Amino acid sequence: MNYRVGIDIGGTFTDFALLKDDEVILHKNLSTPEDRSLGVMQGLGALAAKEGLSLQEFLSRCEAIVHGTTVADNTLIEMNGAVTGLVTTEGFRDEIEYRRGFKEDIWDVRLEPPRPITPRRRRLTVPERVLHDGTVHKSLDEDALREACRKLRLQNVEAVAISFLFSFVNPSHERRAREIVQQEIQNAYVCASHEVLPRAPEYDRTSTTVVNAYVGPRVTGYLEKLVQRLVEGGYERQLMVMQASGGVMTKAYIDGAPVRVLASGPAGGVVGSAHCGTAKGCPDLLCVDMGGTSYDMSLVIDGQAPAEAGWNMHHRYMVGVPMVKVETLGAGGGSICHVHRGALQVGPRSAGSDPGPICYGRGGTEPTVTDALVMLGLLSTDEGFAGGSFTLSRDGVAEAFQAIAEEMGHGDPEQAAFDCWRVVNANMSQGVRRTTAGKGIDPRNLVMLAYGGNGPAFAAIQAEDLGITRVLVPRASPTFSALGTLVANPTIDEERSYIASAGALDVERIRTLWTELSDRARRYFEGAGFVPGDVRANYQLNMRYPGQNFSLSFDFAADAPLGDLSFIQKDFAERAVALFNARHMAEYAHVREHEVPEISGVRLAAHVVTPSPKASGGFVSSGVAPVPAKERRANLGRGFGQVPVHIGRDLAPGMEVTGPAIIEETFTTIVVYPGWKAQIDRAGDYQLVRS
Amino acid sequence: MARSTTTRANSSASRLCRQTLQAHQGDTGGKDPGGFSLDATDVFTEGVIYPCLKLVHRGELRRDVFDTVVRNNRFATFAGDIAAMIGGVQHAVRMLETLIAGWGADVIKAAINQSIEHTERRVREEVARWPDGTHAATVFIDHDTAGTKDIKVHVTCTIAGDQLTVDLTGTDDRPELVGVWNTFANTRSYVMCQVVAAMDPTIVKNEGYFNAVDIVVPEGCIAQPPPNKPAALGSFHPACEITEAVCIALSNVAPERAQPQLYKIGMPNMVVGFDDNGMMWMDQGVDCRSMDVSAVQGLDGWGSCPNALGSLILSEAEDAESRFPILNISREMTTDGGGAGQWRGAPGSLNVKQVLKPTSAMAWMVSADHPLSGMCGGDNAIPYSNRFEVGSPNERQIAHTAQDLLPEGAVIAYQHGGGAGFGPPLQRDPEAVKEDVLDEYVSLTAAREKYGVVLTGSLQDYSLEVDHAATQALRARMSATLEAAE
Repeated sequence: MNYRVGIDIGGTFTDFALLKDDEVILHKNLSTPEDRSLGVMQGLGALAAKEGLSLQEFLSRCEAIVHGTTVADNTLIEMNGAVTGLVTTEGFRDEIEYRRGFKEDIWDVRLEPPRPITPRRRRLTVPERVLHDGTVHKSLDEDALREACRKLRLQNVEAVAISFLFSFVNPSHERRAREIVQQEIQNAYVCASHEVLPRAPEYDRTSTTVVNAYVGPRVTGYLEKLVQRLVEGGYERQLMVMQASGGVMTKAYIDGAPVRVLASGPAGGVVGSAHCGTAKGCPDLLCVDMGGTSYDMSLVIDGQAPAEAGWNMHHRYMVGVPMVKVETLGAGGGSICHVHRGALQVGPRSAGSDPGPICYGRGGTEPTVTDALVMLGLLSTDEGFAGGSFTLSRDGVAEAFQAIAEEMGHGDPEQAAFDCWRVVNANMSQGVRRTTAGKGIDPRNLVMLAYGGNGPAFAAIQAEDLGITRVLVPRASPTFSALGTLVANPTIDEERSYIASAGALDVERIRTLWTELSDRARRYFEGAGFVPGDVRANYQLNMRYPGQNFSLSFDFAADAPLGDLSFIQKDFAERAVALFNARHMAEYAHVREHEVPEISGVRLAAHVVTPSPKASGGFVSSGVAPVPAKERRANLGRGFGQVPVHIGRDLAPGMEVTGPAIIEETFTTIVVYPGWKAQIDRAGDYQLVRS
Repeated sequence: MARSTTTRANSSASRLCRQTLQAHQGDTGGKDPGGFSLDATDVFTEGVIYPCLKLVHRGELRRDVFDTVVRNNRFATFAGDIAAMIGGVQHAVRMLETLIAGWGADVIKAAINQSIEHTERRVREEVARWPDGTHAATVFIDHDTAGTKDIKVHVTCTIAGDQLTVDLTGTDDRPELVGVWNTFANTRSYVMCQVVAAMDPTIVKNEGYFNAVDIVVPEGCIAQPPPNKPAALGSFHPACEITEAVCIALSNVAPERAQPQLYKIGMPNMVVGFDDNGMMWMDQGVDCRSMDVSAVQGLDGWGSCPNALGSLILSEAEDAESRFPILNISREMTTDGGGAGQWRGAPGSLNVKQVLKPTSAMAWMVSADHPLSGMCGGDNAIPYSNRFEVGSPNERQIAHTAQDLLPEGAVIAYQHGGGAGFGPPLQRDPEAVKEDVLDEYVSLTAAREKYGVVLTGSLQDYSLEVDHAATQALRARMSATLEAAE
């Protein structure tokens, strides 16, 4: 028996999905913020024990461990990355501060600036200049660079981003600068823009490189430690790491540009959602993931959640690598309820896993959403929360809500908890409206797919608020992002800049660039233990009409063998123009037949298909109503009353639970609100529908 | 230029709404490339005048009309720009039709009206919170494009209960002025741009705002010109001075939102040339830069431009140089280029570029004599300045306007005015001044002379510290001098 393990580390819990043939085994334990790899090893130990194996034996039988991590995101949220410096072309010190003029809210003059990763004193310039055609206009002034390094040393810089103009055309200055910086600032983490994002324009490339330098030491340090622990534990393969693009790749590849792991946890959830929704005949999904610290929203349309490589403002920093679109709110089970200037607010501050909510009994004193759910009777304080790893306690919870109630002037703690539940619901609904209606998508035409430990407790009430009539809750929902990492394929998605009119293409140059990209991909896939023959490649072009600022990407050859460029024929330019015009028509509803477009870059998206967890659908509701295991006093939005409670493992396919009711699964609680019913399908997954 | 398409609920129904799209165009077929003519004395100089013209009839492009519009334009890519606009409105119309099909015309109409009424109510609530009173402000433009000095914009904002009235009576109306005529519609927009900035940003922007605010603009003044006056340059000035004056007036009631939403740049340096095929190209100079980002109460100016311009994505050197024979040399912020204040304006940038082939360049310089105003005791921004052929025997500062031929290799340098300060500089947190010096936003000299902050240690080795006792003493002396002067 060989295993595949998906792991997703959140702010509060570390989630595991073990794939064993078609069977999926879930596990979760608390994250260990001081050294997150410890929580991973703890969980792997628990999974080994479940299989009756030693950790060593279990790990040696793992053919893949796939990992989504929030290390990079947390670094940007908490702003505790490396002390970072930027070395750039003389005259261009402030591009990173101008942000090409962009501001997130054009109406709010009180909008605060993003915290600078490289404050101006750590942005230093050196005389050098490469022109758009790659010729050197001014040589690199190495003395000036050494002086800049001295200044960065004085400021205790730990990481240096190097970004020179047109380095994506001619990287020689950046390469030399990297050598000098490494000599001058011992032990600094150094990255050059032509390696991180080799394309124009300078703000996009520089910002991505700066973010890379900022998160790089933490990500690589963390992954190194994890790999070391896994190897010591007996794991013999490569650790695969989830990328923001929705694909996975080896640590060796990620080390080249750690910025690629931003948003990798949520990306796993979205990839898993597309897989699951498609299997159940729901191609258009609103995916909502409510964990301990955040609420992530994303859309799957036509079964797809394509990654976009353009203008990605992530945590307010421009990151140009391909990313699956996920929007995040600070609303999770650990979000802290408080009164601010007479108004009840929930989040964005979170109690995390340490101390966590009051009901965790680990020293938390501030009431959280999870505590409100305990007050409302939605969560059980019986033994066995989170798969038996610990039990929730009511100690101190009522007192905390009493304090809020008094601040609000009514003195009723249950009412205070209920109001917190309403506020967090309203926050999430508002977030979903921005993600959907705000972009011209009517949420009522979507099926909601709810996951994360807390998603199913809120899903139906939110769906009701948004006019959504169907909610899918996979049985694996509490560790769904971890499962999603097992759906994701090993993928390399890169581009190189080449600007030329389609009327005067140097096809040999394009062939060389695609060959370089293919060779690079082959090296990494081989390093990961894959056979190059199994790699499928999409050869893509970026094109635009002259004068356009933004290019469109499209496949020139899809699903081709890696390195086989036989599709490049004499009619290359004509085909490129025809394909571009078709793409332009689809995107913008017009083409310029008499204008010759230009190529702005070549791309390669290569992947290997690996086994995915089986997903299936088929609701066969016979309307059989199961007998509840127990009942308890709870408030499901319409006041307190006795509510039937079902135990998930007692429910069989075809059964139907009518709300109000509560279903307790091992790692999550599904609340069936009044007016809703829960049905169980053949795969053991739930759907919630309006009665 | 605007494109519009009408949506009907069905073939027999009445018009429900009109989808419009408005966009800048690279050229308008007038006397000068780009549509801006410094010496225009009538609107015909600025371009071909089209009445409301149908480019697409029942889904079919009217080729003859389309070609007429395209032919009256200098740039080959113009046809693509119009096609993009047509594609845009048609896409939006399809979305509207889906909405109407799903909800019915009555519901859509009711929802639109409800939104407009809600906005008006919210605006009136905001105004009602402000104390009743009248606040006036006067702002001057250095000169018109013919050199006539001190063009006056005068605004009076009156708050009475929930009614705000913005009255431009007193604004310049000399008929001989050149290049400073702003259309009535544009005047209303610039007034509203600043009113919106002074209010809760979550209020939905729609005509409810216009229903809630009375705007009085005398006919014949530069904010509502007589027929056939040229109006292209008016969208720079006096448009921005109108906004600035509204901001100064409203800073009395909403200081926490008193940041002028404008650009005090006369116009960017436009550089025009011909490529090897004889096709005209134009670098409009909409480059990354820092200009006019003033502080507000509690917040230093930051970023490239005021918020209202935050949806423009500025041009980058790597884009521009791949297209035009231009070399961007520098575009960094100038130390002490921001108005001092308790909260500091963002320093303006010095944008320097070199033309690699002979080209012509056009400029209109203002905001040197009358730079952007500080708010509530903050310092004004620094003056704008613009020099052509820098470093050559022909180096010259542009006083009013320029329409010059530049030789190959000529360098042009535009110093942007930066943002103005908010509140008295002597009240700025000395630690914040120290950080500003470390970041070279502020010089050591200005720290002492403008902010009254005494720093010890060295900037070179990043060891600056505030000497609090000396700072307190210096500030006391400076305050006394200021009071005596007043």
